This record gives sequence, C-alpha cells and structure tokens, in this order.
Amino acid sequence: MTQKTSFKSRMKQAFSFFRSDLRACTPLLVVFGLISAVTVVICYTICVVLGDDMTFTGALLSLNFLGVTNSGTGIIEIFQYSSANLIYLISIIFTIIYTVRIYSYLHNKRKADLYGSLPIGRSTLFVTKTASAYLMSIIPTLFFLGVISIITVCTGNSVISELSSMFLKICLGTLASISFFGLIAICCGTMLNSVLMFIAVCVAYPLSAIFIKGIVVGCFDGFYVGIFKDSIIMNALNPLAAYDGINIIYWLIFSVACIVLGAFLAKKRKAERAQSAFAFHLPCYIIKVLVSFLAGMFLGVLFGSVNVLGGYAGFVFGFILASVPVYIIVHLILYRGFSKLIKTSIQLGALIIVSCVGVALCCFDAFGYNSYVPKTQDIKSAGFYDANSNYQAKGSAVGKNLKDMADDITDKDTIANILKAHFQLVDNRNYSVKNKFKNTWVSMFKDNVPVFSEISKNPDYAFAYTLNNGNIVTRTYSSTSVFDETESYLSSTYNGLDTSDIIYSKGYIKAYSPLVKADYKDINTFIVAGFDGKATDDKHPDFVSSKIIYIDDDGTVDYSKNYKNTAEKIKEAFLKDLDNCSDEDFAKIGQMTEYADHALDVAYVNYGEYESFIKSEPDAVCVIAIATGDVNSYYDGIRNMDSYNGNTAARTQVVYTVPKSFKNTIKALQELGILNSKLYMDKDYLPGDSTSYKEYAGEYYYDDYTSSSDLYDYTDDSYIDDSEY
Amino acid sequence: MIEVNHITKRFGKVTAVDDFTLDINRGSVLGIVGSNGGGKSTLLRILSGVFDADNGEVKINGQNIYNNPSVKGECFFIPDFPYFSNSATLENTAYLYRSLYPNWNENAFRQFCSVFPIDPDAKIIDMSKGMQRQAALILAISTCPRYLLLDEIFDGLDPVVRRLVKKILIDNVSANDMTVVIASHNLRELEELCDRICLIHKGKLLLEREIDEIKLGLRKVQVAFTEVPDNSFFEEINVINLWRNGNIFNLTIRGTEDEFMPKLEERKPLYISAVPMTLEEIFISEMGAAGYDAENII
Repeated sequence: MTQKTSFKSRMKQAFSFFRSDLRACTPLLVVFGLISAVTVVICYTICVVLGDDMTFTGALLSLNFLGVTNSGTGIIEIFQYSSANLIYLISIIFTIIYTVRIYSYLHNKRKADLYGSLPIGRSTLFVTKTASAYLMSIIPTLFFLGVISIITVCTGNSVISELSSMFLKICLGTLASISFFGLIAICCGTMLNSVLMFIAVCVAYPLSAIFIKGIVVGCFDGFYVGIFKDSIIMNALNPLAAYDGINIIYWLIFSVACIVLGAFLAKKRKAERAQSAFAFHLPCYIIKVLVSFLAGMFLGVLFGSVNVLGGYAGFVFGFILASVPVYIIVHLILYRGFSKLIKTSIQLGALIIVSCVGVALCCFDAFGYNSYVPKTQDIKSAGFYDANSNYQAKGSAVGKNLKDMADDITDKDTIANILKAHFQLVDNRNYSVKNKFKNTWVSMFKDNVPVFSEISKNPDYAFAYTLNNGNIVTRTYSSTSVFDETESYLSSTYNGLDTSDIIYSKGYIKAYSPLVKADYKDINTFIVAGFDGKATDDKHPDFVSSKIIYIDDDGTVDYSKNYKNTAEKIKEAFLKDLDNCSDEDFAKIGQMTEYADHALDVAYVNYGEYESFIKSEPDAVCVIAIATGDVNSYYDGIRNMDSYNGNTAARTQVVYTVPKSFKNTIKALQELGILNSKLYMDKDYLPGDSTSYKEYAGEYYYDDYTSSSDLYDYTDDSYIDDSEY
Repeated sequence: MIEVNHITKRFGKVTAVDDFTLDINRGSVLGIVGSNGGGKSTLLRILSGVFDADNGEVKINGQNIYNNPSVKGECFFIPDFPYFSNSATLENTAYLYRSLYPNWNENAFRQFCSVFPIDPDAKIIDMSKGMQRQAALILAISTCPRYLLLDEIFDGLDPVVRRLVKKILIDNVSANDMTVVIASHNLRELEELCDRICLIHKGKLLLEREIDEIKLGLRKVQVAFTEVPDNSFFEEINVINLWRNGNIFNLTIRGTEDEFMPKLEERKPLYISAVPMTLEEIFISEMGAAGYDAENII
C-alpha cells in the first residue's frame, strides 16, 4: 500500500527544490544574465548608431542588410548578425548547462543515494527538477529582455512585438530542449552520455531527414519539394528547431510527451544505473542507428553520385563502408567497450537492409511514380498551376494547396489540355539515363539553402487530379539552373511546355485568374486602359489608364473612390460576359497579353504596341489589367520569391481585352464613367488619376494631359483607325 | 518494524543480496557486519528505498518503502559517502528538509548545531570527512526519523565525537523509540551500541542474534592433548575453527562451557583454557567458517 502525498505538500516540496537548485545555479544565472544583457545592449547600441535604417526587428534576425552595406559598415553587419544570433545561442548553451546540472542527480551515485532516499516520489522529483530548469532559463531571459525594454522606452522606440516574438521563441526552444534533455537524462547513466545523445540526436536527425528528402525529391520527379519546408518531419527530434518559433503546437505536444514519458520512466529507472552507460537502452539503439544511417547515406550518396560501380551498387558499397565502422565507434563511445556489440549488431544489419531496399525502390522508380499520368476516363476534376499566371494568395504555397486545386476544373476540354501538357512533360523526360544520386545533393538543400531555395520557391507547373475513385494525384515540376548543371535537358523540357491552351480557357480563368480570385490586399494594379478618342489630322488620341487600384514603385498607394465597389462591378460584368461569349469573342480577350508581357506594368504600356493592337483588333474597346504581388519585387528577376517566403502574394499579371460584344462590361464601365457613350476612355473619370503617355524617339514621356496639338508634333506618324467607332 | 522478506538484488552477474530475510524490531539497534562487498551497503540502500529489490519485499510499518514518500518521511539514510552540493550549508539544507520531512524538529536542529562543533552557515563541502558526517547526522536526527539507517557512520569521527554520536543515538532510541540500523566494520563501536548483530557474507545472512547471545555462544579455547583426538571429536563438540601447533590446539567452539568442557575433560588434556571472544574474533571466526579465508588474508 502506498500513501499519497497531498498536492499542497508536493507544491511546497517543489518550491523547496527550486530554491535549492536556484541557489546551486546562482553564479551561472548571473553569468547568463550579464552576458545576455551586455550582448543585447551592444546590438541595440549599434542599431541606434547606424540610423533609421537599422532596427531591432526580429531580434536583429531580419536586419536591413542593404542599408548596412550602403553605409560601408560591413564588419558591423557581420558583428550585428552574429550578436543577434548570439542571444539565441547564449540561451541554448546556458539552458543545456542548467539542464545538465539539474539532472545530474540521475548520473551520480552519491546524488542518487541522497535523492533516492528523500521522501519525494521519483516522478514528482523529475517533474520538479524539469520545472526548475524551465524557470532557470526563463528568468535570465526575462531579465535581458527587460533590459531591452528599458533601453527602447528610453530611446523612444517600441519593440514590444519583436520582444514578444523573441521571448516566445526562447520560451518554446527552452521548453522543448529541456523536456527532451530530461527524457534523455532519464535514459542515460552518465552526464556525458546524456550530452552526447542530445547533441547526436539534434544533429543526426535533421541531417538524416535531409538525406531522405534528397533521395525522395531527387528520385521522384513531380514530388513537391515545398512539402518539406518548415515541415516538422525535418526536425521532429531536434528540439533546438523550436527556437525558430514555428510549429508551436507540435513543440508543446512534444514537450508534454517528453515530460510524461520522463516521469513514467523515472519511476521505472533503477538508481543503481547512475554512472553506468544507460538506464534504458532504447535511446542508445536509436542513436546508433541514426548516426550510422547518416554516415552510410553520406558515403553511399557520394559514391552513387560519382558513379562508383555504376551508381546504385556504389551507394550500397558506400553505405556499408561508412555505417558499419560508425556503428562500432558509436557503440564504443556510448558503452565504453565492446559489451553487447555482437548482441546489438542485428540492428545494424536491419538498418543496412532497410536502407538499401528503400533507396532501391526510390532509384528504380519501383512504383512507376515518375511516368504516371492518370487516364482521361479516370479523372473527375483537375487543377493546374502555371507560375506565371496563377494567382496565389498571400502567405500560401502552391504545394500545400495542391489537393484543394484538384477540384478546380471540371470542364472536359480543359482537363484534356491539362493532361496533354502533363503527358508532354513526362514524355520529354528520359528517366532511364538519369543518375538519381546526382540530384540528391541538390534536392537535399532545396528550401534550406538560399541559393537553391530562391530558384525553387514554387514549382513552374503543378498538376492535381481528383480521380473517380476519390483519390487525389498531385505532381509539381520545376526547371532550375541548378538542375541544368547536372541534368542539362531538364530546363528545355520545362521551358518548351506549351500551356497556352490551358491558360486561356474559361475554366482556368475562373479558377485561377487574379481578376476572379485575388484579394484586394494583394492587388497592386487594377486599371482600365484605352484611348480617349479617335485620331484626327490635328489631334492624336491619348492613351488613358483609369486607376482603380494602383501602387507606385515607391509604395505610394493610389485608390479610386469606392475602389472595391468599382472593381467588383467591373469583375461581375466581365465574368458574366465571359460566360456568355462565343469562342470567337473569347479568343479576343487574351490578345493584349502578348503585348503586356513586354511591359512589366500595364500602366506604362507601349503606346506604339497598343496602337498596333488596336489596328489588328478593331473590335477592341479597352483593356482591363490586374497585377498582384509586391511592387518592389517586379524587377528582382526572381519569380515568386516573396510568395515563397509568405510575405506577399505571387506576382501575377493578366490583361484582358474588352471586345465590343462584352455588353455587360461596357455598360458597367459607362455607368462608372470610365467609358463615354462613344466607347472611348473618359479623361474626366476620377480627376487627377488619369494620365496620358506618348512615344517619342523610342522613349516614353510622362505628361499630364495638356492639349492635343502639343502632342501631335511628336506623334506625326501615329494613326488610329477608328472608323469602326 | 522493518520486515525484510527474501529480498534479492543483482548487479549484472553479481548477486549483492541473496534471498535475505530479516525482521528488525522497533526501538532496537541493529549492527550489520560483513566482508567487503558482502552486501551491507546494498542492503541499507534497499531498506532506505534507494534501490528496489529484484525479488522479495521490504516493508516498514507494513508498507513498501520503494517510491513511497510517506514511509520515507519516517526514515533517514546516511550513506558511506554522504552527498552535499557545492553551495550546501547546514542552514540551507535544513530549509529543504523542513519541507520534505514531516517530523522535522527545529529545536533539535538548533540544539545539535550548538552541540557539534560546526558552523551552520559554512559550506559543508569544504569541511573534513568527519565534519561532513557530523553535519549529515545533525540533519538526520533533526528529521526525527523513526528509522535511522547509517553506513559507516563512525568512519572519520574522533573519539570524542564518536562518543557523542553514540550518546545521541542511544538517547533517541530510548526517548523516541527510534530504530537504528548501522553497517560498519568498526566492531568495537557496534559492540558498545548494538542490541543485535547481523552478519552478512556474499549477500547471505550468516547469523542474526542479540549481541550477548553471540558473545556467549562462542568460546575461544586453548587446549593441549597428550593424545591427539581425531576430527570426529572436534565435530562432536561443535568446533567451528581450529588452529593447531603440535599438540596444542586453538579452538573456536560454538556453545557454552557447560556443553563442551566435560567432553574435553574426558580427554584428560594437559592444559585447557576457555575465554569469551571479542566481536572481532567472532566475526573472523564466523567468516572463516563461511569460507572467508581470513587467516590466509591476514
């Protein structure tokens, strides 16, 4: 029979232990607090000295490096960036030191005698010690964050949100790290083994995950690499990743699970295991397998990628060559000898077999993943993504919405066109000659290393199908210059893909066009543009763009009055016309796009090009243009970069021509005062918002409209045939 | 009382305590003696709830002690090398124990702090081995344990403090009905302090009796024969240890003089002398009988 201790009594005991631990760790706490405080003061001082460009944003992790570089303080930039990370590094180091100290009662026979005989339950003691470790780490953090707060208040800045974010990250990282270390400490017999295990798991797990990702992405063409981005799979056993402040729910569950399991094992743990290698052997088996796997994968992929024994055989050779000695070495380190080596070698054998079979299945595409395209009759609905045309909401990623996309298009013709493009893409690939291991290295670091991730933010193309049996099939494809270095044919395969039949289909426009889908917060341009009259002998018509929404390069926002209502009215009318239009008229709406492609901003469309377009399409009245995304990213030359980071919407632009047959649209534009009764653009619409452009000697001049006679001299050879009007 | 029922404790291939059974009554002082590695410290750790027995059970007042805080609150274990943290003083350790031990006696703590020559605010880790044991003992007695488990408590104590410690223990036993279990190699101290002695060798209980009974039950006899008797004679008179020099025999005989003297007299010895044995002599003799080759080691 066991008597229970009251909760109040337990709390009292816990507080006593905390005070005892606090006393023991006081010198360490002082050092931690001082180093942290001094570090952040130095960082902040430099921020202030460097001027307005420099902020303490995101604990300096999101520094404006451009501003620093321009001010010629590169060395400070390095220092500053280091200091910003130092705050986290210091927190991690001291957290580990506290934790090692606090759990040392499990790893010292004399301490085990003392704590084992004290009148406190083993689980209670473990939880109490864990709580002490949390508090030990969080108290100094509060201290140095308090220092920052005081400084910022004194200097008139407010960084409350940044401090909160920083505190959250440190708390989350501390919580996860301490909980995990506690669990490891329970399983290990010595402090050294605990630290080695912790470091090994934190390093070996994510690296092993990266190798698996490399193999999967490298072997399975069409597999969406972004699925690994910020995925908890990549860092599931690396609590240091919790300092990133993402996957908060997972890390909370992880921490609670570690504490609960630790408390359970604390009851089962034999005190005499102190100073022996392990109290419980399962973690030891895991780390031996994990580290051996990592070593094996490294050498295996290396041998495979340089075509040792033809590729796969080289992988197997390299895997065995590295994993076996590493397994033995890790065993010797952890067990301080050869005991149980033979007995546990079955795990090594299983590791080699499972790894080699698994990699073989991937390399030889045993399931036909790469060449699989669903049959037409099996498809219920489909979705398609083209990086240049699909609107993508702010913060979203294509791959994560793939399954939702699979229901977007039900139109059989559009689905047939999607399948045609997909077959074309797959047929162009020659999988048999490809050494998959060459792609593994690149695939490993996609999304992790900036140089790779910039070019693989989002796929160029994505296909999604809902089959009649309810299954969803998804594929994403990217063409990147990195792939070109190893597999030169890839880029041409992707670049040569003709998707125009899909993009200019009604189903696609309704499903993906920014005109239909874009949130107003993501739209940077919504204009109606056209001429304000017909050309005469003494007057050249002005090209007028009526801005419903327009954000300038410098970020100046220009909204018309009631812009949402105006835009909605135009959209509704246009979509109504789209539903009812003939195939012939439908073909006309995409005509302007080929001209707009040459100009990044339709507001500055080339006058001459538009004139030519009017000549070729006498039925056109005006164009509706919509662009989304960050204005500043227009010229960065890297498509969708910001979209990948979730900071802004994808940069997409569409220009739809309004033909005369689009009665509803024309009526709406007339009611809004954008078009006059003669179907010309009304310059008086929204005074001050309309601007005119003219072409002279190959350059574009921007002028407020003055008089037509002033312009005529510069456009003497321009002519608009408005006979149709 | 403490009931030890057939407990066994193994460390790998080594059996430290082997099917050990023992009852320890309230208010008694039990001395545990035995060879090095015989299992004394392991037994104490099992009794104090530090170790869990692989087989069998230990009950204190009818309850298992392992992972049972309420029972542990009535026990205190001082190991052979008591642990103190680097910053531990008597005062701050007392702070922790106050919340842990329900019977903590502040007056007793203050009194013992004044009796023993120890500064309560000094770091214990900086003290000598003997001082550290005194500190541990002060804390132990202040918790007013019903069961005090001591491992080599006299090691490192000077004679004055040893006497003081014995006095405090005896006073607490008589005043508070405290049960004391002491494992020690210092048989002289045990002889003075203990009611009962328990002898352990290779994890097994060799004997457990009242100390007077042990001392009276064994005799050291020196005898010289004109005609040397055969071995069956010595077995007959219950000789457990024999050392011979010519016709002179040094015998350790289990039993009283009334039992073996008449038989020896029948052999008409030239010389015979029987004297009581010290506990140390009994220890060596019993251990020798159990296969511990004390003579050759010496």
